[in-house]
Amino acid sequence: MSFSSGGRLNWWMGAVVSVSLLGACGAPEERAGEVPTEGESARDAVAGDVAVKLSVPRSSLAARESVSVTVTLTNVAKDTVRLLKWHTPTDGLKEDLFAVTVDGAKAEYNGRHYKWATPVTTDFLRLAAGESVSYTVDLGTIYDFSKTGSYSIRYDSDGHHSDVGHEGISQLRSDSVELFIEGREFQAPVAWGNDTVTAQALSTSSCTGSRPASTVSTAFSTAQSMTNNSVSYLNGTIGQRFTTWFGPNTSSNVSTIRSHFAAIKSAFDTRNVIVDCACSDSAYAYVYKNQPYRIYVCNAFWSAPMSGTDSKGGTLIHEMSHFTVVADTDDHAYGQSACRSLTSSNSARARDNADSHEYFAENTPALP
Amino acid sequence: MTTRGHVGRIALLTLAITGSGCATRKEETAPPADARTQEEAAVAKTLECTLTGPAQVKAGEPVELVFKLTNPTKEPLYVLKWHTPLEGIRNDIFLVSRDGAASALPYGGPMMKRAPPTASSYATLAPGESVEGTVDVAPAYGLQEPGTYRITFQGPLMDVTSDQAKVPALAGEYHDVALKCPEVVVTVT
Ligand SMILES: [Zn+2]
Repeated sequence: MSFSSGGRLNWWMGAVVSVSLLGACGAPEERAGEVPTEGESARDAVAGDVAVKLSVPRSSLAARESVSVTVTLTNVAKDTVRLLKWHTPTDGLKEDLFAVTVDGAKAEYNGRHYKWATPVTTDFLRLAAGESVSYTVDLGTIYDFSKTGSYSIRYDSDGHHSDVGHEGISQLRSDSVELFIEGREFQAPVAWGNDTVTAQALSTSSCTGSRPASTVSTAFSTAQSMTNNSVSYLNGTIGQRFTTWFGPNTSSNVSTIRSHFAAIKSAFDTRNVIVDCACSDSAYAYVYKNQPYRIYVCNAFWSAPMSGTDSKGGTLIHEMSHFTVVADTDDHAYGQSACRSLTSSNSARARDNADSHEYFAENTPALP
Repeated sequence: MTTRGHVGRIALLTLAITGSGCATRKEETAPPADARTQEEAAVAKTLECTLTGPAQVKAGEPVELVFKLTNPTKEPLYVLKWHTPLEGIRNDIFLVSRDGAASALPYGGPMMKRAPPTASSYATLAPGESVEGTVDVAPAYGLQEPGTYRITFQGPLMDVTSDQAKVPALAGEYHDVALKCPEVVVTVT
């Protein structure tokens, strides 16, 4: 995919998001600097080694649009340097890494603060000379954008003070970007699960009353366990469960679906996912493919069971699979019957179909 | 005789479904020649489609297309509105390319997972009757830059029946039908 002209980008926010994320998470296992190479020297970056650039797809955002900002880190030094990952969005935003002001006043940071231990090798991101890495983050989940006004956003890894003792290591700063943002309700992130190691968070928007954030949180962990189960299955013996939803058991077909579920798992586990409950359409849910990782859940979601066929957990998997940066699936057929038929009429379509992924993951009734 | 004719038409519809699968795009492998002929015959007998739009618009203006279905048969037809402009743009239903590019422009609109259909999810077309929907394709497909855009409705229609008892389709037993709808060319200046 390529976008030759900048003019369209102003209008169509997805263009920027898609392009910048192809490098960052199109192939999560190959992300720049992810694998620390023992024995190969990399010095700690000092001020000026790593250029930080922020970009926004458009300069004005309506309340329903996410505040997506693309952060590009480029090693402009002549040798390999290393950065503390928690000063970067590598594993999602875990710190107050941005300076956000609205009409001159500081917008509150509502995200997580961690007390970091002494960093080990895997806590560093390595960048070779000239190497760049980009991340697109949704700041709406962590900063307060409830006020309508002119915002100024700057990257500043020194904005937080929770890693006393590591100041001076890889400070990262960017110029500021200015944009007009229509105010939107802020909902604090909901903690989910008991796992504190990976430290990811789910955020919700407008999930109150009969559409509680706690239900969304349970659906999210259900989606994660269904995804984990799918990943395990795909690494084991392939049988009817695969062929029923995705067609012939060939190594190429299996590898396609395996990469889809690896990407779905990575997104659930490491990205800032926002579930928006404001939709009152009769549908289950929807997403904009080019606006990860915001999932809008609608009426049918609330009456769906937590797991099993067409469930809350499965719906989140369906939606997650759509994002261009995840599995880029489409909707060719809805419902179990139509999806089963798809494997014989057009099995490539089955492997590109969001509901097929959902039914495979829900696995109800269970198939071997 | 009337009954046999009816049965025959339903059979052709079924063939069309087998040939086209759940959805048909032009780049897909062609079905066998005889199946295709029958499919086209079935489509011709069921619904006629037109897609019209402005020949030229200024950059930044809406690009409003009118999608119109006509029932040329002697029976009422029930058409599921999903994935057609009759419900607006709620999925990636058009192929849009710019200045003769081979690849389609990316779609930036919503992708909606549907709850089971209800009777109101269908448009009813009496014999000879037409139904139309108007959509602005500019925001979802990014027709903001000057250029010449070719816009094609992807199809198929996800469920079409002449049997009111099958409205709405239960348990996902849809009968999709490929639809020939001429492309529209719009120049954005
Ligand atoms: Zn979908």
